[in-house]
Amino acid sequence: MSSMSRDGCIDYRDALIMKRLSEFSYVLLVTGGKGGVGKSTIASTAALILSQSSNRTGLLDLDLNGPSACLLLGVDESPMEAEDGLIPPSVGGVKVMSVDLFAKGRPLPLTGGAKEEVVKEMMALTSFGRLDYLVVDTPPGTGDELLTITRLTKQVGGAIVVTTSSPLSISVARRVIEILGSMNYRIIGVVENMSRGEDDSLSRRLAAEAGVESLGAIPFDAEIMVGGGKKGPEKLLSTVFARSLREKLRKAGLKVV
Amino acid sequence: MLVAGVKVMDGPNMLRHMHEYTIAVGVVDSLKNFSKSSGRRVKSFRVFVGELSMLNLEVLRGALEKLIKHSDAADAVFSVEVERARVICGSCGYVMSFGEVVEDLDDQEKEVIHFLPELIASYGACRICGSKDLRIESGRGVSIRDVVYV
Ligand SMILES: Nc1ncnc2c1ncn2[C@@H]1O[C@H](COP(=O)(O)OP(=O)(O)OP(=O)(O)O)[C@@H](O)[C@H]1O
Ligand SMILES: [Mg+2]
Ligand SMILES: [Zn+2]
Repeated sequence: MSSMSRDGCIDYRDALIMKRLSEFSYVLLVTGGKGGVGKSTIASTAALILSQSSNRTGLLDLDLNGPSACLLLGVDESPMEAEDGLIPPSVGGVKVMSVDLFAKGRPLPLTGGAKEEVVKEMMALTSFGRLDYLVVDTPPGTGDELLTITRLTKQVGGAIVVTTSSPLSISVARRVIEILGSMNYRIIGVVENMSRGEDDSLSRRLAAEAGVESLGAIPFDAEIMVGGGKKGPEKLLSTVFARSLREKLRKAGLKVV
Repeated sequence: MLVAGVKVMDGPNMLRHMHEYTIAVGVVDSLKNFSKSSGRRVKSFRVFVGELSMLNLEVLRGALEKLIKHSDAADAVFSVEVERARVICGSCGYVMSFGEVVEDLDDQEKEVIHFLPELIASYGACRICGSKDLRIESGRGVSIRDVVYV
């Protein structure tokens, strides 16, 4: 990073990004591949739980086509501009940065290279300050956002891979694990979400085969569907879902009380 | 710092060119990092400022001059130049200029583009066919080019 390309160009954002990253003790990447398995709900709730446990916490929503952190947590303020960059709004003690703070619900027809630009710009400009945890929500699939953030945060990052028990979701999660593995990105565990029974053997087998830890299952919890809005954080934290997630985060070795 | 903060999208009067300062820090830090890792000294470089970023060139130049004085590139010569914007419509191929892109935007919307130029497609569309399939070919942000070192 921060090296010069052969034609004598330097991307100034790399230096800013390195400086920002040096202020984060840990970057928690919430991935999973398949759409709708609960990545965003887990990322937002995990950020709230970490903050509640007295960690300085940020949430970076990198789902550039379908950002959801602002809706889930009821954030509608704009970032503040300061000399050091953009200071994100806080909710429940969590500093939240999302492209939706700028797009405000408008469509986001971003593709390919444009996504990489936006990810880098958000990383370079956002002044989270010192953080114990930066939680990153990622989009479905293994596109530009995931690859860019993986490349940038390899030194300080660990990924949680979210899946459901459906074979389709498991197979997508397997691919994500392979990709993260190929980039030497640390995987702290597989979580099975929306579990409806006792049987979490498929996600356990996936973890075992991939040589990563299985963190167990989070039950299906109809209550979280009614979350969102200004009361979002409180509601999310009071659910069975959150209680279960808290236990998984502790199992993964994160500082959670 | 929060006190000095200005809410993004509060309009142009509130703009105090803090973004220029952040970028200048990034540029000078990049040159420092380059010198440190290569053992070379930067003699000259050119800074190109994409029109879509709507940065104030004088403020950026001033911030660079100030910061560079205290770096190991203190006597490097540099220029700050504008890079014209070219935004291409993926549907009909029409190429929009900066003026055409920002024509219908209000100040708050311009401020969003100032930070994230890629969001032009969220706030606007191709003026010929209305498509939101827009790609920035040039003139998005700040780039450091033609770095000469010894
Ligand atoms: N444990 C759970 N029990 C019940 N519903 C859940 C659970 N986890 C998530 N959901 C619901 O499933 C839906 C999808 O969740 P979410 O948006 O977090 O998934 P995602 O993986 O981020 O989706 P996308 O891939 O589209 O970004 C939401 O309506 C959410 O409320
Ligand atoms: Mg999501
Ligand atoms: Zn067109």
